Amino acid sequence: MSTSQEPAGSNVQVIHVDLDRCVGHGKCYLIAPELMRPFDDEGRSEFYAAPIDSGDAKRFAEGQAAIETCPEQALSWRPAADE
Amino acid sequence: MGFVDDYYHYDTPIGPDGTPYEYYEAFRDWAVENDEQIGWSEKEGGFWLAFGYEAVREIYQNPELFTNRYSTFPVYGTPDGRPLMVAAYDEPEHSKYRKLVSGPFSPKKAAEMADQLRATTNKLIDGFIDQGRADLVSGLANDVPARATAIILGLPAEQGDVYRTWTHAMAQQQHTDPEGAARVMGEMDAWFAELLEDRKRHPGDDVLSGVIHAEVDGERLTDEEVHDFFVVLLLGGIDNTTKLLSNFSWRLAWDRELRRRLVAHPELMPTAVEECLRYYSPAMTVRVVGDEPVTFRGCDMKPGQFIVKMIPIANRDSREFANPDVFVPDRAPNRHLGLGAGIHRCLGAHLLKIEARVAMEELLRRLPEFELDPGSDTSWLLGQVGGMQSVPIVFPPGGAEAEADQVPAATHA
Repeated sequence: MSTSQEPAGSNVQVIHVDLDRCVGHGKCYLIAPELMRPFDDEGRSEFYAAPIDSGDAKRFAEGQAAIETCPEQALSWRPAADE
Repeated sequence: MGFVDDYYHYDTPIGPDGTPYEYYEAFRDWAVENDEQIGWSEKEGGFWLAFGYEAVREIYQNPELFTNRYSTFPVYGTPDGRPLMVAAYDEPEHSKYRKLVSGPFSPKKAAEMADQLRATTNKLIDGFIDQGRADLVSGLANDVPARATAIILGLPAEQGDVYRTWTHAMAQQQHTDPEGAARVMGEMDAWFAELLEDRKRHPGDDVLSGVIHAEVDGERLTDEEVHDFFVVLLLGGIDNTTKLLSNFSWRLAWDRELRRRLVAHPELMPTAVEECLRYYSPAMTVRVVGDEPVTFRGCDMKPGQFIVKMIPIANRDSREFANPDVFVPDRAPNRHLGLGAGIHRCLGAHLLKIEARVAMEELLRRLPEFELDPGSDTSWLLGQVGGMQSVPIVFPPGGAEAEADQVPAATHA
């Protein structure tokens, strides 16, 4: 889990969706449409935006809100390099 | 456990505001103070009640332990005694059948219906806006979901009251008047049998035509299975959305501050719909302990025992939601369970949300000021799907909106 205390540019992340958990509630793309969108008939989600620098407080907060609003806990931060 | 011992979803006490929420909140307060999430009731032969958010969520997320084989408690049947299509199926059949119909209910398809739903809502409002009084259930909440469901299924869109008679027979009347319900369901079956023959000969691009020609494991569906889809999609599409719209309309009628905020900020409507799903959850659902006994949160559960999930109480759990009894139209996070969770998450969720968004947007646009009619009563229907049955309002009369094919407004009286 990242913090926003590291220097900008050193901690670039994406949101990973665990597709074994995601069932398409759609709460993440409702709250963060710039970051998440549905990709299949059930409305399961994918992160489609540019990776998020932890120094970018606004985008980081949107991503965090998306992660926190999932009842299935299907979303998590992952380093961009790992995806 | 007084609250647990006394609970029954068909005779929950109605409070001074005309809803069961004073009772639900008291039940929740007791649960939180005593760190309780589940209890056992001796009523109706005995069943578990899950009322804590965490417990309800975990039950949803463990379908191998907590199966769907029955959809109601007490059990009353589908018209032919078969399990409710998709809803009462467990894996692997569940996914095989659900995916036959997930396309028409996708976010994309739901969004494509927005314009049509907007036009429908405005036409319904035109029907009462010049009168200064209306019932937002019979005038709006009943019809938007019935029409949307009919359009998707390929049924005539004009006979919403007939469909409601059928869903009422299946969902409530079986409990109160089994003979009357059986008669109505017989009429429905006869009507459907004719429709089925017609769709076989003249397929359309609707869900029922799609299902008639679909295959599972290389085999076409039987007539019974197609009928079962008709039953579950009619039930699912009508009752729950109607109750959500009814409850939201009622709230907007007396909560002037909320209504004015949504009039001033229509961009809040999507999250306000989510909050309404949390705050006035229309449905309670049921699970059945599977073939293996399970000890869940200290409770020794036996195969075949029922668990009633009290969604309205779980969605007000202060261990999950800050200020749970405040309606916060932009609440975040909002991990509510109003449309379920796990693999059986309400199939119609995306469509329901578009219907609610559009209907409430147009209602507030056309009628920014309305109040509950002080001379009339509301009434709340109890049961597994519950909510306001009538929302009588008064308002400054307005005019119908001119359409291209209508005579100009100036010639109206």
